Amino acid sequence: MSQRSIRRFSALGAGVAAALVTLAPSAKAPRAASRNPLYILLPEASFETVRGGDEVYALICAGCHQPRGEGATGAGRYPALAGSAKLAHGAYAIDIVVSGKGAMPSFKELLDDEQIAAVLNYARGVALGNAFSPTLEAADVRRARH
Amino acid sequence: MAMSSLGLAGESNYRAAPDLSGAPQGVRVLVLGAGLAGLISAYELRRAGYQVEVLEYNSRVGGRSWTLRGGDVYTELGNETQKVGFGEGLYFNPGPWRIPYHHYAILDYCRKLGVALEPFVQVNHNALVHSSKALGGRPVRYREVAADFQGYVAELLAKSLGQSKLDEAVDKEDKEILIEALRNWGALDEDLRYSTSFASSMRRGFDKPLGGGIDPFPTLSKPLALEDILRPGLWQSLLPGSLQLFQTTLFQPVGGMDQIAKAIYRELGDIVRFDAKVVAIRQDERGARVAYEDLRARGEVREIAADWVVCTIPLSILSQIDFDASDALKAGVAAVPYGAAVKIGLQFRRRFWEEDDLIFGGVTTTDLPIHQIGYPNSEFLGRGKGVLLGAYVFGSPALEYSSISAVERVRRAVSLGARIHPQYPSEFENGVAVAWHRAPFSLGCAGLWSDAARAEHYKNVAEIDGRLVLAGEHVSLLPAWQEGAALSALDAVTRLHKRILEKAEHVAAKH
Ligand SMILES: Cc1cc2nc3c(=O)[nH]c(=O)nc-3n(C[C@H](O)[C@H](O)[C@H](O)COP(=O)(O)OP(=O)(O)OC[C@H]3O[C@@H](n4cnc5c(N)ncnc54)[C@H](O)[C@@H]3O)c2cc1C
Repeated sequence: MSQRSIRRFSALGAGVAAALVTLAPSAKAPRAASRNPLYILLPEASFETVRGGDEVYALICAGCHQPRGEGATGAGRYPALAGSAKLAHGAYAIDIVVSGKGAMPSFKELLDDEQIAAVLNYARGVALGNAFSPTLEAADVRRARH
Repeated sequence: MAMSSLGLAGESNYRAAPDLSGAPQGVRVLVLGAGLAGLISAYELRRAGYQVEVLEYNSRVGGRSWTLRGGDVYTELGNETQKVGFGEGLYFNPGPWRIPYHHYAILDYCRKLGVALEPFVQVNHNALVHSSKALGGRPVRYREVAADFQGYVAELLAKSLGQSKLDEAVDKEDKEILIEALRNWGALDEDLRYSTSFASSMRRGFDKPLGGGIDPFPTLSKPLALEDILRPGLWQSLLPGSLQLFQTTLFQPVGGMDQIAKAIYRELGDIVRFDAKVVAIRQDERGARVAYEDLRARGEVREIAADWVVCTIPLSILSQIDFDASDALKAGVAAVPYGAAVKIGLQFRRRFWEEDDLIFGGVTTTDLPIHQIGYPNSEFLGRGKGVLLGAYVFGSPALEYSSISAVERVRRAVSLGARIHPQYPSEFENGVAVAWHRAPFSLGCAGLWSDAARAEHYKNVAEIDGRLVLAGEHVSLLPAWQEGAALSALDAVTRLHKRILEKAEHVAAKH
């Protein structure tokens, strides 16, 4: 049995498997379904039609970083995005969303270049109390994928 | 050895509790985290004669192995507080809920510590399979999908024997046996057809069941069309139960999953410091010091010294803590993202799934973004209220669920579930939703090791690093299972004990 199949058989049933399929190699439901025998009627959420940075943020990022980017603290913490020096550094911010960091998964399969640029521009803008420039472009994200 | 023979499909390699005999006097071990990995480490080390203390962030033991009951109050990250409104005796397991019969380590602790178990129903033939894309959204019974899929497959195979190349794969005698077997296995008729028949109704159920008295005669049921099973993917609902992980018998502790942690804690005595948030781990050749914020004293920072540290803090959190360790261990700790999962418990005025639908335990599956409905596996035929699992969502849909408020999560679970059980709106009373990315004590449901990260870092994460050794679900190949937490803890304390004995010998030899 391959290493990949190990993860499929976690307690979450298809759970961790589905999460893995989402967060790691592929976000496309049909492929995921065909690769994962445990993919019991569990559709991936498709974010393809979610184009606005504000919408992507609300659906995907807000759960951890919180609606206004205020972050949250418990035994560990989700860093605040409002006033974040790391977010101010565009290339660094792109790299975190593309590659993940620590507990944060990579979003390179779930989101395309435009979506990543859009959500970062949203987070770097006034909505989260920031005024970081320049505006990031899909091309910047594409370069970071390699 | 092939990987599969290592039991990676989920079977545990546990054989017996570790033998930690000959522990030197007065050696202090500090355990970080009082989830199952921490509790088991503390239990075994203390039994062996070590001086053990445990630091735990929460005000309770168990970590992810957790049960919510009426009156409990839970505040998630983002500060929304839910007060659980369940009635007397009702509960909901927001994390682990089932234990396979082959998770021997967990079961052994249950046996030793007297944790009562009862069956957890995974496959219930009378539970529902639902797809919004199948049969106009009408749910069907698991037994119907199971019988029909099996029947059609048997028919196709039986008929193709003799016609095709399949013929060459079996000799004549075997072919006759196989056809006979398929006829029985698939409930086929004389012409090898899967059709409306007494035999197929005995599998999939009758429209009007057999009875007694003057009109006992049944009405046969008509199979679904094969394409209705294939195209919307209803067949996928048949898969989980075939995995060894979900095969009969599975168990659950009577009264809630937290009974296991509580039972171990009872054996430990007063060695757990609650509300203690570890913020730094220092170590050198002589020992370790751990700094924690005492949340009972407004976060005042205190320090504890120990000879050794067993750290079971999830990597999602440990990766943010200031700790002394080799670069290799640090790199491993930072290489594991944590997944999203959401579970929602719903209380209803009455157990309508039993009273109206004859569903006793088990799981209904659906393509709606609640994914599963889990029915309680105890108190069958009870007349009072009942709590069911109204959603169990993971992967990308769970990200979205985690982003909305808990109140909204519950509301969605009720409105989506109503498409499967129309009784929902009138019977619903209250609910509680746990989004694991927002759990302050784990920041996620489980570590999601990638193949590449595992190849590069796993061993370094498991290795004893100076005075520090890690344990927990994340240091196992049974990720997101309690058994993985137990096995990692047992292995960590066994190796640690050996290291301590070696050191003691070394010191003795020098004098
Ligand atoms: C949704 C879900 C479903 C699951 N289903 C199943 C199932 O059906 N069957 C099964 O067997 N397993 C299941 N699991 C997996 C199981 O819950 C875990 O594998 C297991 O409980 C992990 O134990 P642990 O000791 O490694 O970690 P934890 O239980 O997370 O323990 C770690 C402890 O460390 C504490 N801590 C964290 N940070 C700090 C700090 N800074 N200072 C001090 N203490 C700290 C935490 O509060 C916690 O008590 C499920 C998990 C989830 C989330």
